[in-house]
This record gives sequence, structure tokens and C-alpha cells, in this order.
Amino acid sequence: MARVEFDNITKVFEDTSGPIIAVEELSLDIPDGEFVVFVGPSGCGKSTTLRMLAGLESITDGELRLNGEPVNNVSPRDRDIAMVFQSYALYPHKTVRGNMGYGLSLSTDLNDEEVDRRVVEAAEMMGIEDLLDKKPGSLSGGQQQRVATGRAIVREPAVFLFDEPLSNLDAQLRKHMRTELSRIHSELGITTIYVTHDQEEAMTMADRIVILNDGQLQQVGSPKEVYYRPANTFVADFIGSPSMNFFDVDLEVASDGTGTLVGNGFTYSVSDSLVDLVGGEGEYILSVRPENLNVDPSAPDERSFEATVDVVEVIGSDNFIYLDVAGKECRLRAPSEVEPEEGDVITVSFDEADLHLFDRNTEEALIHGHERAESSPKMIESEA
Amino acid sequence: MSQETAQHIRQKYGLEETTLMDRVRENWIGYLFIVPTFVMFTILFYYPIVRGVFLTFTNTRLGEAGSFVGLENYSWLLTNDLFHFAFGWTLAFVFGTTLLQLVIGLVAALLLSELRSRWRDWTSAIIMSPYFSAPLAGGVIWMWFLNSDFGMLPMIISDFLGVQAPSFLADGIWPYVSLIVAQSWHDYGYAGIIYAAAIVGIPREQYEAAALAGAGRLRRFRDVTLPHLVTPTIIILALRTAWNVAEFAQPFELTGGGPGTRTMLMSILTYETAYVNLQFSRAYTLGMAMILVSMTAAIFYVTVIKDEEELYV
Ligand SMILES: Nc1ncnc2c1ncn2[C@@H]1O[C@H](COP(=O)(O)OP(=O)(O)OP(=O)(O)O)[C@@H](O)[C@H]1O
Ligand SMILES: [Mg+2]
Repeated sequence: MARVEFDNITKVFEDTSGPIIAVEELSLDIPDGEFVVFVGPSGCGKSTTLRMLAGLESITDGELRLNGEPVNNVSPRDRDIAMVFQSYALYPHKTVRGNMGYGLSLSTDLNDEEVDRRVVEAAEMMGIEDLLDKKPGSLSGGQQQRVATGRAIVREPAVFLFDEPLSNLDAQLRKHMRTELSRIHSELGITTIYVTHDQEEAMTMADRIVILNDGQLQQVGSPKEVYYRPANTFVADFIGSPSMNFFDVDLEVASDGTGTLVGNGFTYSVSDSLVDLVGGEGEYILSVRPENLNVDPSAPDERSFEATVDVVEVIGSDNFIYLDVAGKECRLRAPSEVEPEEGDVITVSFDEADLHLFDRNTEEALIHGHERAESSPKMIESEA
Repeated sequence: MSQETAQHIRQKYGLEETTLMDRVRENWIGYLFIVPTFVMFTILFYYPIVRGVFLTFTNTRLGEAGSFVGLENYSWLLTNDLFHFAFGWTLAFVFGTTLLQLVIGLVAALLLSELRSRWRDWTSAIIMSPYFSAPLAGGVIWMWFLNSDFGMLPMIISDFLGVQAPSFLADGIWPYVSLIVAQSWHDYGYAGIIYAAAIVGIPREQYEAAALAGAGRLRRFRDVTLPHLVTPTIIILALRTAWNVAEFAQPFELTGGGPGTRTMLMSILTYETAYVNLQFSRAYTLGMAMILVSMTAAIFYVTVIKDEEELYV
């Protein structure tokens, strides 16, 4: 069991082409027992962060603490951390039993019987007790994944690290393993850091999501928080599928205090309280989630806009409708009975409570519906 | 598949059994392409081998056709003391050089794998260079190094230690040691290259997983590196054994089987029988004995490889 603290951690790689900043001044406090998921685009520094925590990569600057103890210079074997690699990294010449027992017999002074008992226990937990005497080469990808996870849990380490552990599995197996890993986490209660590309994985598994971009922390928060209250346009764009719609808009305020958002190809009236919240006239980015847009022919003119249907994607439960608004793509998620023809012009509206406004210069969030956004993403982090 | 189901399937899809002529007609261009190679191999390779086996039953000498003598050459071989000695010494030579090449090659490959990749190419080219030098050139180098009259090593020993160096190519056990060391020097690069390729191919994550599991450097070498080197080792052993049995140029240049016949290898003995004594049929019989040694080793290694395959399933 352990609390993990990243305190201003920076990692710079010296490459032949010059220094590369992989992680920049990352600060993050992960309490004991939490399940944290790191997401971000390729190359944003997720693996590097994980590897620094495991001790496989040196730390250029800042302090890393486990249970309050600085561990920057502690060797991997003394950190009591188990990691599941994307490639599984099973020892090909050892049986499943040998693979799982290896760490236990090296790092503890349990006798062989005790080691074997724990291996069998972990194998039962992962549902691989029939495979114990096989070699990894004769297992399927999903089975190897289970062995790799089993090898990590059998040690009951202080921290679990997973680096995209499910990315080599097919969609169905991935979903199944997702629930399984969540179950194991709630059974063992071990602090877990999980890296993934897949935002659906992040949303379903995480206590808190950490979003990174270009080595910099973008936002830390619960899945709901990052979904409903994205700290900036990057997070808003990254979380949610299909991704959010963005429009550059100018806010014009009338004499009665109400305002109008004027964008390219549409206008949208907002109430005086929203004008107050956002702080008056100016240049903003308006964004709305595809699922908050409605096809509504009876919507009032000042709260709706016209759009041409480009493509309709039928996915069963819903339809994804891709629209053209004055040359810009706009995505709309509608119930399956709403199925306009391509080329139709439809009226689209949304509720004022569902809009988000971002500062056009800093791209930081200003308001989410009728609530003011915290002024910086750091505040959300300390609140959690 | 049983005969019946084969019939059944053919009937169902209206297929006819293909004859050899059908296949030739279908693939004639393919056959056309392999004909030249096949002809060349037959003329230069298969024919001489068959002819060689036939020769061992005659008393052919260089330049004279012989007559059929049955197993006489073989009984000569089995009762010949020099052959007994050469056979034993060849086994020792092959065992010693193969083992040394393996160990030195492994150490070289391990050292190279620790180098930064920027230095690795050049260093490996230099370390492996003996393997790419002509064996005769290797012989000259070692002669210059070991010779009692003008060699560098005896000179260094007498100048710095003040004692008379033994004659490395003549005294006591020294010629044997010298031949084995010189041969190992020439060919360890082969093992080095194969080991280096195998080590580069070991996934880094396996080392990292072992490190997290609590394995120190030595443990990681034992539990991660070594298991990945079993297959390469068997391949190196199989090939090097065959080559070392047939090794000729460097030992011939250094001692020529002497002093007297004290370092007579089977390869040198074969040469002398053929070109000094001109007894071609006997030389061929010696060659058969060498093939037998290589084949025995090869069969042994192939069996081991079969077991080794089970290592991963
Ligand atoms: N050993 C290294 N040497 C030099 N640069 C490196 C090294 N490892 C990573 N980097 C660089 O650091 C940055 C972050 O890499 P990292 O592997 O952490 O990304 P990631 O978020 O895990 O990406 P992915 O999702 O593709 O796995 C990248 O720009 C990468 O090129
Ligand atoms: Mg990665």
C-alpha cells in the first residue's frame, strides 16, 4: 500500500538530435489505494512517467516520493512496484508457474510451498489455474495477458503499474479484461496507475483521470469532472467520442443585459446571468458535446442554427450525424429514430446549460453551462 | 487422410489425381530454372563424393588408376598408430578450440552489448576482424608472435622476466596449446557475431521485469540472457565443430603436424597421405573418418535442438 507523490518531476532525454523534454514539471499526489489512469496522445510522456516511477528511467529534476519517502535514487528492486508491460515481457523459457513465482522467490524469503500456494491463488483469481505448467509460447494473447497480470498481483506490491496492457487484445476481450482488472483492484485495494490510449478505458476504470499533452499535465479529475468540466480545449477535444464541437464566437451584449454569441454561420442568444458569469463582451470559443445537440424543427430562431447533413453513421443505439455549418464540420449524436437524408437542411439547437466557453487566447475554460470554471487546472487537482 | 476420403473429395470436385508428368508440365519453368544448378552440383559435388567413396575401395595413387582392394584401406586405417594419434588429437583440438571460441565469442558479444550504439559498430568490426582475415595471414601473425628465434612473445619473456621461454611450437605441451589458442583467436568472431545478434534480440522489457522482480545484474544474466543463448550456442557448436574438424591452413603453417608427427591432425595427415605419399585412396579413407566425426557431432546437436524446441512450449 502506498501513496505516490510526483513533485515537479521533469524528464529530459539526450538524443543525437538534442534534448527532448518528455515530461515537464509534473506534480501529482496519488493517495493510497486509488486507481489513476493516464491518458494522452502518443508521445505525450505517459510511459516515461510510469517508467520513472518504476525506477527504469532516471529522473532529471524534481522529487518522487513513495509513502513520503524520496525514492529518486532507489533501485527498481527496492521500490516494491510491479509492472505489466504492453508486450507482457513473460520469460519464454519458464512455465506460467515459474513466471509467476519468480518475483516472489527472489524478493521474499517464503519457502517453495508458500510461493506455490500464492501462485495458485493468484492463478485462480485470474482464471488461469489450468495453464500453470504451460510455457508462454503456447498461450493465446489473452492468456498471456492474464499471466502477466497474475505475475504482478501475486507479489502484492505497494503499487501496480500498467502500460497499455490491453492494447494487443481484440475489442471484446479488452472489455472483459477491463472489468476483471477493476474487480481485482477493488479486491486488493492496491494503488494502481494505468496508462492507455483509449479514453473509454480511462472513463470506465478510473477513480481519477490524468490527461497529459506534450509532457505537460492538462487536467486531473474524476471521469465525470473531465467530461463535464474540461479545463481547456485540449481536454474537451480529447475526452468524449465523437469529440466536442468548437466554434469561434464573439459575444455581443444588448442593452437589457442579455447577449448574443455570433459565429460563422449562426447566432445564439444567451441569458444575462451567463453574460455576467463570462464577464461581458469578448472573443471566445463556444463548444457543445455532440450528444447535447438536438435536431428540433420547432426551436426558436435565436437559439438554433441551420446545418446541412453530410453523412449519417448508424451505430445501432444512436446515429452520428455529421453536419456542415458554414463550411465547418459539426458532429451531432441523435437517437436512432432521427435519421435525416444526406443533403437535408435541419434545425439544430442546444440548451444553454450544456454550452462551454473557453478563452480564445489561452484556451482555458471560462464557464461550463451556468457555472464558472476554476481559473486554472491546478485548482481542480488540489480539490480532488 | 485415408484413401477413401481422398477419393471422395476428388470425386466431389471433379479432380484427377496428379501424376509426375502433370506436375512437370505445370511447373516446367520452375524446373528449367533449377536445372543449371542441379547439373553443376552433380558435376562438382555429388559426383566427386560418390566417386570418393568408391575410391576408398581401391588402391588408386595420384596419377595411376588402381584396382579394387576391398576393405584393405580401412583395415590399414584402423591398425595405423599415427591415425590413432591423429584421431585423438583432432578430437582434443576440436573440443578445445570450439569451447574456447564459444567462451571468447560470448564475452566479446556481452562487452559489445554494453557499449553505446555509437561505438558499437566500429568496436565490433575491430573485435571480429580475425575471423575475416585469411587463415594463412593468421598463421603468419602467430608465427611472428610465437617463433623461438624471432617471435615477440619469447622475446618479451626473456627480456622482462629474465627466463628462457619454452619453444611454443615444439616443447612439451606448448605446441598443442599454441595451436588451440591460435585457432580460437582466428574463429571466435563467428560465435561473437551470432551471440551479439541473439543478445540484441532479447526484449528489453524482460530485463526490466526481472529488475522489478528483484533480480540483480548477475541474476538477470542467468535468468534472462542465458536462456536466450541456448539455441545460438547449439548452432555455433554444430557449425564450428564441423569447421574445426576440417581446419587445415593455420595448423599446417604453424607446426605442419610436427615436430615429427607430434601435432598431427587428421586434416594434415590427409594432406600428407594424398600429396606427399600420393596415396589417394587412403587419403579419401581418412576423409571418410573425418566426415564420420562431423556427422556424429551433427546428429548429436540435432537431437539436442529437438529437445531445445520444447523449451518454449
Ligand atoms: N529512450 C528515449 N530516448 C529519447 N527520447 C525518448 C526516449 N523514450 C521516450 N522518448 C521521447 O519522450 C517522449 C515521450 O515518450 P513516451 O514513451 O513517454 O510517450 P507515450 O505517452 O508513452 O506514448 P505512446 O502512447 O505512444 O506509448 C517522446 O517524444 C519520445 O520520443
Ligand atoms: Mg507508451
